[in-house]
Amino acid sequence: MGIFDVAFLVSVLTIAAPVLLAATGELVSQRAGVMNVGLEGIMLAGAFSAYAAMTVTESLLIGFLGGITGGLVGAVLMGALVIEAKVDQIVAGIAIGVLGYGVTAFLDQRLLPEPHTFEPLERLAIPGLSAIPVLGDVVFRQDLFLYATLLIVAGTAFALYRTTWGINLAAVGETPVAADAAGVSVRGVRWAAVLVSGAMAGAAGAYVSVGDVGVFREDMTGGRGYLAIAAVLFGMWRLRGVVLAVTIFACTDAVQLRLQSIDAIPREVWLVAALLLVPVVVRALASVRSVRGGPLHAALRPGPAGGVLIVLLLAVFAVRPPDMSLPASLWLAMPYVLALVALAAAGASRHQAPSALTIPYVRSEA
Amino acid sequence: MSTTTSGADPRAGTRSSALRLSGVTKRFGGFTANDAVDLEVGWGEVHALLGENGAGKTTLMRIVTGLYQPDEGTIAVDGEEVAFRRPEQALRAGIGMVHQHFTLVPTLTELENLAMGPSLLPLRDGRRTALERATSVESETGLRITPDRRVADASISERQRLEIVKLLCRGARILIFDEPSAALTPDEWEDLARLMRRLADDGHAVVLISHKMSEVFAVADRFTVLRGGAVAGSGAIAETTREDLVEQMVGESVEIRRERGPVQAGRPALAVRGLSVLRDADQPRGPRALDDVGLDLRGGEILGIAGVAGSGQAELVETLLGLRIPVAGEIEVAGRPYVDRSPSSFYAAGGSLVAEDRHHVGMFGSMTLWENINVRALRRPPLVRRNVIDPAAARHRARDLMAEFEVRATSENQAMGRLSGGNQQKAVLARELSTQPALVVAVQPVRGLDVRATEFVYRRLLDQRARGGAVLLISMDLDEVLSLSDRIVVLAHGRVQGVLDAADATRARIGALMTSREAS
Amino acid sequence: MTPPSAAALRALGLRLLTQLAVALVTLLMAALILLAIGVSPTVAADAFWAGTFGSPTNAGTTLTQAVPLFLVALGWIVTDKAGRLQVGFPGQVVIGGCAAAAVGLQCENVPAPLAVMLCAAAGMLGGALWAGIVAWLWASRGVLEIVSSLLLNLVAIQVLAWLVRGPLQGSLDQQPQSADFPESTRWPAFPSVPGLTLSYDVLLMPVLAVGLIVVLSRTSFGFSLRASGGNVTAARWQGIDPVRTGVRAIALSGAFAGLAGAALLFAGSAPWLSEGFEAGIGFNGIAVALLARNSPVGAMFTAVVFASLNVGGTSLQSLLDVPSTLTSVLQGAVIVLVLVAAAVAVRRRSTTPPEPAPAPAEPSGRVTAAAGQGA
Repeated sequence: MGIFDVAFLVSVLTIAAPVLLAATGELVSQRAGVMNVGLEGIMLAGAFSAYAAMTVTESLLIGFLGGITGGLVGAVLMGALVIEAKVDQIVAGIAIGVLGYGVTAFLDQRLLPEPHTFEPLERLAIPGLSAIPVLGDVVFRQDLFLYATLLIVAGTAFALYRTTWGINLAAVGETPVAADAAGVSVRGVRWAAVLVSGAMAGAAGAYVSVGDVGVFREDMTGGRGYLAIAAVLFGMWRLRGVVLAVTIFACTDAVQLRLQSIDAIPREVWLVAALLLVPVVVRALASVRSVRGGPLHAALRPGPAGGVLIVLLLAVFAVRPPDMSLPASLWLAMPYVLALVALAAAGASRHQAPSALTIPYVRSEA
Repeated sequence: MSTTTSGADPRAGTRSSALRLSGVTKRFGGFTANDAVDLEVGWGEVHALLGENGAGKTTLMRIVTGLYQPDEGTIAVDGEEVAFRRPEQALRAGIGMVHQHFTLVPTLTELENLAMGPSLLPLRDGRRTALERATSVESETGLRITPDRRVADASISERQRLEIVKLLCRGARILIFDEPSAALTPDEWEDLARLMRRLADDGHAVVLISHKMSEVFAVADRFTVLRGGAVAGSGAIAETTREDLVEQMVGESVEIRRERGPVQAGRPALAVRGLSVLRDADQPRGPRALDDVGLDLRGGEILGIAGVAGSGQAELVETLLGLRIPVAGEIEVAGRPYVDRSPSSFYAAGGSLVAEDRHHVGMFGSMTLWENINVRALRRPPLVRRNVIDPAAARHRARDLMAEFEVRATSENQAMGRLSGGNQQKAVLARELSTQPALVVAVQPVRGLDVRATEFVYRRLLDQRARGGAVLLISMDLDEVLSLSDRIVVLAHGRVQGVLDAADATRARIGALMTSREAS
Repeated sequence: MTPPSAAALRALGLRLLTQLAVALVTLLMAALILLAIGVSPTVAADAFWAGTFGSPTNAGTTLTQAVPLFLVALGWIVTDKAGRLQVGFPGQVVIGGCAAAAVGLQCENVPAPLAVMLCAAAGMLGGALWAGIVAWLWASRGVLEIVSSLLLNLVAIQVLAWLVRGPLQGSLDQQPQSADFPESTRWPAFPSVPGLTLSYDVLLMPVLAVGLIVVLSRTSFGFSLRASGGNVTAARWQGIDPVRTGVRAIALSGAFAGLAGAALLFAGSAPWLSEGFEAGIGFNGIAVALLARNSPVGAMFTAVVFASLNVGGTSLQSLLDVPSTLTSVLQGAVIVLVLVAAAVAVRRRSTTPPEPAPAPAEPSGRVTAAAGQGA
């Protein structure tokens, strides 16, 4: 299987889990019309409070509860700023980002100067299921956090699409006036959504610090919060899309980890890159075609033509890998670059954003 | 807040009081929006609330629906005094309002819009109960919804119906309709009128807010007229006349058609041939907002475009500005082909625009009055030389125009957003008419203005005509079109249904053309 | 010029008062935190003063450090006035700095004034191009500036990490940093200040502040920019191209950030390119602008305040062992306080609406970025 072996898939899941959880929370919040750009700071708050709680109690459960509490504190601040004070959501998010970094780094330096290391979460094999070849090793021998994340995502799917609460949430994010007229408290729903996103981001942060590696470092979430936001946008505010986006990001990251130890980029990477680009190019072609002319006409337009060329080039590399390597730091930038490419490709569907996203609700305008 | 029914049985048909307002007064700062208003609506009655724009109807209804609290006076529902602090309370007391702008979520389905609402068990699926209620409403009133259709895909009248069903599902028994006919064809209005009667006959109380006499006389039992925030009169419809009501609304009788000179057809100002525009640019095979539309307009002439909202008016304006790309058609402005379409080339070709949605597309609320008046003048000589603005000259020009167009403001440095609506519109007119345009496109130019400001706008448009300019007047208000236009184009479903000369245009003929659909 | 009215003066007074209140609350917080960690606030204040303005040398350092913050703040002000929300300043500072360093390292034999000019130009170009990616994604693909710029910040950090280990690596002991910049490229300093800590680039502050005000209020570019920021749709309907204006504004703001990157490297005390040279300037510059209520002149003073927090934080760490991240805490708190103060002020002003609510500018302009462009 080359570099794409079981260990690779396991690392994809491990990388994906916290981002997915944070992104799911962000999705809830954005569907209610609150863009929580402070997610990175809230994750840091979760990571640090989990670490602090662990240092005191040595209990992973309390650690995670501490992480959730830390996330909630960040979310309360966010909610107070954007729902109550009606401050610009994006500026408020930046403030929380700066504050989250500053406060956690300060408290870490001051209160816990001696670094502690803990045993990360144990991996649990689910009896029976874990015996399935490959799948069992990948999915059913994971830590509790991963199972919990999958449950929460499934639960969120249910809540979003199968309950009155989900309908109210969508209404508040889309047409708050209508929700208000129907007696739904716009404020209440937005608060709930922001708190949910805070709790989820806090838990995700806790996993990053105590759950996965068992330490805390300054700024240790390293942009996962921003990645989660990008996943929501790329996923076009649908849970399915968010899951897909996170998976793609996690794969790139996992490949990057793998490649750090390999000299030349192996052919699988080129192949996968080509395969990943195909749907993007096809979509671009389709959207151009729907405007005017046939497929050939579409393929000759500069944008799609470039895409087709790149796919062909990658395919050639897949057959005959060039002796080429990328420095580790550039690989580290890959998920972000990919997110940018993905956003650019999804550009045309931007109109699916909740209409009231980032807009504070003032009743008298009704 | 548990007041629903007590006292007399509403279905007894005795017309006991459903809603009673006594001495309701509401002030905003020094401005009195409602002055000791008394209003009484009985069960089983359609009550017309009449008044000009700015007469205080909206404020009064916001008080009734719990959005505002009155400064003085009392409200009683079904004989019991109530004090609403929040709209939910009014809703629970059985008061529901069909707003002009529907309170529906376009991205959700009709059923989901019904299911939306506070729920004690947050993770319950309310759709099943909603469907049951909708079915029972259907059996009572005949109002049918399409549960799985997205509201965005529904027509205006279908949305209005959904809005009514929504209120009935919630148990509303006092229904307030705010100008419900604005976006309806005459046929659809007929249906709605029948429904209002039926609701009243079933024992509901219906309030119809309108300023159209024909509608009021068609459905209402009783009326109350507001003028300047106070009650100018009330009584039974059967005992009054149109002239009487108009006089109560306006204070004096208004002449319908304006005096003016005969048409001096000048140079061609606007010619549109075979214009077709998609409703949604992403769906090339989807429905068309404009279909094979042709227009001809010369200097010294006012061409009115009549039609209900959503007949393609907005798309026509956006196409003229180059903001929409048509699938077919040619446009000439001031006699020259207008091919390379964009807002700046539209203005350069001699066009100008008094847009309908002033706040959204026509002004910069946070910028000063002088900047707003000079938006386009500030991008070419003499106010700008080598990209450097001459603020003194720009202020001077703004002051001159403010005097000419009677814009009242503390100074030209005042922020546009702080001006009253009428003064904002005058400033917009100053901007749009000061360039001596060959063509003025005016869309609903007096929406939300008081009588004086309205008169001013009309006079300015007629001045434009008198000095040989052309006006394309797009309006959903038939009376406005009838009173100003030399010729009238009737637009319905994106097609030109007919062109009438002012002399032989009547409401009835225009209405007939609006409904004669799909000739092809 | 017309004399300012009483109302305008009162508004200005209120603004200054709120700023003062924010400053006081921040000081109070700082004092409480210091007490909590067992450091006497008065001792800390002495150490703080000594480190920032206590000597000409330290004062020079503080002022010089204010320049990059101020430049970033100008970048924020430009995009804010244009209604665009790009927050890619950390990335633009980094890339601008890298570009300036790449050019500077080649300027061994170039005469000093030209070398300085070249470096500054390279920094501006680098920042503008990096911001140009944000602008392009927004204008042609409708990607939110905020998201693309945040992601590009993360990319820029990795690009820097690669450069100082790869192409620009130049230290003898294989540290991840470049060789020292040639003497000719160093920005000159006031000879009268001991230690040459006060760089001449402080002169940029008043010059650029006034320059930006003139550009915004007296040129048609500035007018289009403010109009697009005031109401995107109205701007488009009035024949202003808000997309082109937005792209220019974003590029200009990137150029400011890039220049800040060059200033950090060539006027700073460490004349080489290394990881982390950006030191939080990018986001703190936004705070500087917010604290100044987006006034270029005010930003000069708030930049000095923030720079003294940085410099003073370092001296507190070395003298009293107070964690220097206290600075970040205070800076974050300042942003939050400023936001709240602004929100309260707005609410105050709008308690007496004369008309049914003035419409909000452009309901969804921020999200559906360039909607309405033709296919």
